[in-house]
This record gives sequence, structure tokens and C-alpha cells, in this order.
Amino acid sequence: MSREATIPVQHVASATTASAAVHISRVRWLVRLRWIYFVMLLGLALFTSLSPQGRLAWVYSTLACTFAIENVAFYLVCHSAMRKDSKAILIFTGVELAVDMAVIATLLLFTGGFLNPLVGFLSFHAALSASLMPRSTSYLLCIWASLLLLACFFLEGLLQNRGILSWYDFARVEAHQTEPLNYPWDWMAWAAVTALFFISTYFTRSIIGRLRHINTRLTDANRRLSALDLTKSRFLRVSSHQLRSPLAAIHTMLSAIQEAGGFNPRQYDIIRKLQVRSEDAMALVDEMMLLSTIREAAAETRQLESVGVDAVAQSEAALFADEARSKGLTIEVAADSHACIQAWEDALETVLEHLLSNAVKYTPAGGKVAVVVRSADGKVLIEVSDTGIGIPAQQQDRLCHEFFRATNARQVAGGTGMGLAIVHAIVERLGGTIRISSQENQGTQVLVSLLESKQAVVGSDLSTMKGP
Amino acid sequence: MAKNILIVDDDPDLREATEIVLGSAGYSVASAASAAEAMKALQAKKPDLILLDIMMETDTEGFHLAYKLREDERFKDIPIIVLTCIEAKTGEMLDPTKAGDFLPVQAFLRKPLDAATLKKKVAELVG
Repeated sequence: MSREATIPVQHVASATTASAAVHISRVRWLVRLRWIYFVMLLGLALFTSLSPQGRLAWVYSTLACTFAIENVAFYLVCHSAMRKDSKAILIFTGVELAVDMAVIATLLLFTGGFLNPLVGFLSFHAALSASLMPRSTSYLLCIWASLLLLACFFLEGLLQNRGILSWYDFARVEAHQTEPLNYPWDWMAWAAVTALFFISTYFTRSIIGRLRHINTRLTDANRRLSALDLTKSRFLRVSSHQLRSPLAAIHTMLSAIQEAGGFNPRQYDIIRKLQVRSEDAMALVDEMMLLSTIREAAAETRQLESVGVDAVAQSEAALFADEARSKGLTIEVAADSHACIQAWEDALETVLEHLLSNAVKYTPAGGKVAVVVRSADGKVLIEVSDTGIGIPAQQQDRLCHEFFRATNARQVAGGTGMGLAIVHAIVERLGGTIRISSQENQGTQVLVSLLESKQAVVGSDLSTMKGP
Repeated sequence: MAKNILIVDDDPDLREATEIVLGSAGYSVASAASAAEAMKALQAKKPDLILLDIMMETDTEGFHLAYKLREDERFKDIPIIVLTCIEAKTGEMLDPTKAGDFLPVQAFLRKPLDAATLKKKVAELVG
């Protein structure tokens, strides 16, 4: 058995198909350009048919139709078996580029020849071929353009001198005579334009080659960064799990000590404080694990489902009802019952849980927390607002940073500083946006915008996967 | 006569703390650090209840042990309480109302264990 590594046939086929698809996408804008030529030439034909030089109208119409036929041929190729063959697509594109140049040269022949500024289009198409074709083909097309110009130059005088073709100067719209290629200037001009074709091709290839090289490096760098980010998230999650185990053991042992009894009040107080601190540490670890899990999920393809926002909002608000009541707060939920989003139910629950937790925690007694859900322009807008302590203006740009807590928040209640970072990560993962506006001592509004789902919610089972 | 409880967990501190809590409630507690040790302990003395950690030396050691016990005529009637913080590793939480569909145990308790909750749950199952 051969020891040489072989690429499975289907992988080679896939690479070839991808290359053909990339090439087709690059040619599409050239197709659009040909339609513009088509319209311009038809307009020119119409204009010319109404003028004393109406005989040229058939020339312009023919050239316009040539461009149209090329585009139709391209569409047919895109829908045939050829579309998967990169080599065939390249050959087809090369032929079409050569035809484009021939059409432009024909137009030059009837519109003043070399004196016509449209000769610049030949140079443009030479540069165009440099961006679409392999190196050898693009320089061959330069030679083709140069030969076309020479032929145009030669035919220009020959046909006119023999009276076969009337001469119409594009600039002055008058018949005149000339002798082809009799002057050194003519040959110098042709050589200069030919040099222009090659120079523009060379510089175009250089620039595009460098841009593609940079693009490849950026794509690779982005891929490496994404992989590193994923590694970091996994490390964070695994580390958090490792931290949680000893913390859980500490808490359980403290609970056991407390059960054993025989301590004085001061000692019980210390044990209780140790339990609270271990609970705080575990809460922080849990939030870190959740955030890293969300970020890891961003690299995976988990199926989204249609989730009814109203039911989740009502359910989450109910969880905070007791706490709000004990503080003398009111929680109101006003939700469009038909509003559904493309999400995962537990993700939406986590978002609302954290937003409501912040709102209830940082709103003083007698205040109000409101949840409003409405649909607009294909989006579902979820607004959680409160009449709480607000956030200092100079700290609002850091709200979604991990571990960040506003200075006034620290004075009111404890927290991990992870809630809004988690909300932001989830919303981002769902393709939505979050906007926070706040005024210190007046309140905060958090507006989450998520993509609306048009599908009906299948099963409104709100049993969550939050353990005992 | 004191009820016998077997705790299976690879964390020695958690085993010791659980022994203290349940011991103070009048239970006789034996412990094992792995599924293999648990099988030996079961062979030696059949407990009235098993407290079973899920993730020990491997992430699924507790799962495998639970299924093994359910398939063993000698031990399939022993109630099992699963101790879990599985969401810490996988990001997925065990829903106690649904997990029984695939994990044949009687109850789930999330770590850290609260002494009062633990004693209450044990009392519910063994008296």
C-alpha cells in the first residue's frame, strides 16, 4: 500500500468547486458592467439613428447585442454542470474578456480609432483581466488587445481609402481621410498604448495579489484568534469547575460544623460569614462558567427555536415577586402576547433573570420595575426599566465588562459584576443588540432587540433546566 | 436500628462533612471514593440509601454506577440520591423533573450540600 498521503477525491472535488464558485462571484460584477455597456450602446444607437449618421446605428446595436449575448451565455454557464469546473470557468471568462476587447476595438474602428478616448477602455479591460485571470492569460490578453488596436489602426485607413467604409469621426461627426500607419508617430502611439496595457496589467496584478495575500493572512489570523478565544473560554470553564469543587466542600463542611453545634454566638457569626463568603465565591464561579459556556456555544451550531417572550417574561417576573414585595417595589409586565424570537428558552430566561435581578436589587423601596415587550420592524424589543439608583454617566461605557460594578452599586448591594456581561454575550450570540440608558438617582432602561420569529411557538413548557 | 447510608464521592472533605451531618442525625455512614470502592462496600454491607456523586475520576462514573446498580438484582431497590454540579463542567443543568427519565434515581441534590436539606431528603427516603 502506498505510503503517500492522498487527499480523498471528494475533498479535491470540494476544493475545485469552491474555487469555481469564488471565480464566478468575482466575474459577476463584470457581468453588471456589460449590462451598463449594453444600455449605453443601445442609447447611442437610438441617438445615432435620429442623426444624419444613422447608418452607424446598426453597428452600435450589434455591439450592444454582443454584450447581451455574452451575459446570457454566462448565466447559462452558471446554471450548468460547468459551474463546478474551475478550469472551464476560467477558460470561458478568458474567451469573454477577449470578445469584450474585440467589441471595444470594433467600436473604436467606427468612432475615430486611436484618437477616440474610448481607447482607455481597452486599457481598463486589460487591467480587469489581470484581476480575474492567471498571470499568463492576463498577459496574453494584453497582446490580444494590442493586436486588436493595431488591426483597428490598419483597417481604419485601409477601408476608408478604398471607399469600402465611410469614416465617421466620433468627435467631429464628419467624414475625413487618413493614411494608416505611415507616420512614426502612429507606431510610437501604438507602442505607448501597448506598453500602457502591460503596465496597467502588471500593477493591477501586484496590487490585487498583495490585497489577497493580506486578506488570507487576516483570515488566518482571525481563525487563530477565534480558536484561541475558544481555548480561553474552555479553560475558564474547566478552571471554574475545579474551583467550584473545593468551594462546595468548604460550604458543606461549614454547614456540618454549624450542625455539630456547641459554639458561642460570636463563633456562629463567624461561621455564618464564612458560609456567605463561600456562597459569594461560588456565585462568581457559576457566573464565570456560564459566561464561558455562552462564548463556547458561539463557536458551535446549536439549533435556535421560536420562543414566546411574554410567557418567559411573566415567569421570570414571578420569580422576583417575593423579593420585590419585601422591598415595597412593584413589578409590571406589559408584553405583546404574539411576540416570538429566534432563541433558546433558557438563554432568554437568563437574560431576563439578570436584568430583573439588577432592577430589583438597585431600586430602593417604593420604586417600580417594568418589563415591556413589543414587536417592530421584524424585531422584538424587550425593555427592562427601573426607578433605581442609576449608573454614573462616566461609567456607563464599561457596564458590559466582566467583573465591573458601578461605584454607587457597590454601596447598595453585593454582586459579581458578571450579570450584564452575560446578558451582552447571550444577546450577541442571538444576533441582537443591547442598549443601556441611565441617569443617576433616576433609573435605568435596558433595551434588548432580538430577531423576531414568525413561526408559532411549539410547546410552551417553561420547565427550565435549573437544578434544585 | 440506625439506617445505613453509603456516600460515594471522590472529594474526601465532602465525604467527611456529610458523615458528620448524617451521623449527627443518627445515621450510620460508610463512604467510598470511587465506583469500584462502592461496589466493594456494597458487597460487604448493603446500605439503606446511597448518596452518589456523578463526576468522579471520570465525568460519567456516577452515571455508570447508578445503571449498574439498577441492573443488579441485589441492589436495584436501594434508593439513590445523586449529588451533582454537572452543569459546572458541561454547562447543562440536570432538571430533576426530567432527569429521572434517563437516570433511574430517586432524587437530585445540587452541591454544595446544605445540612438541613440533606437531612430532610434522606429522611424522606429512608425515614
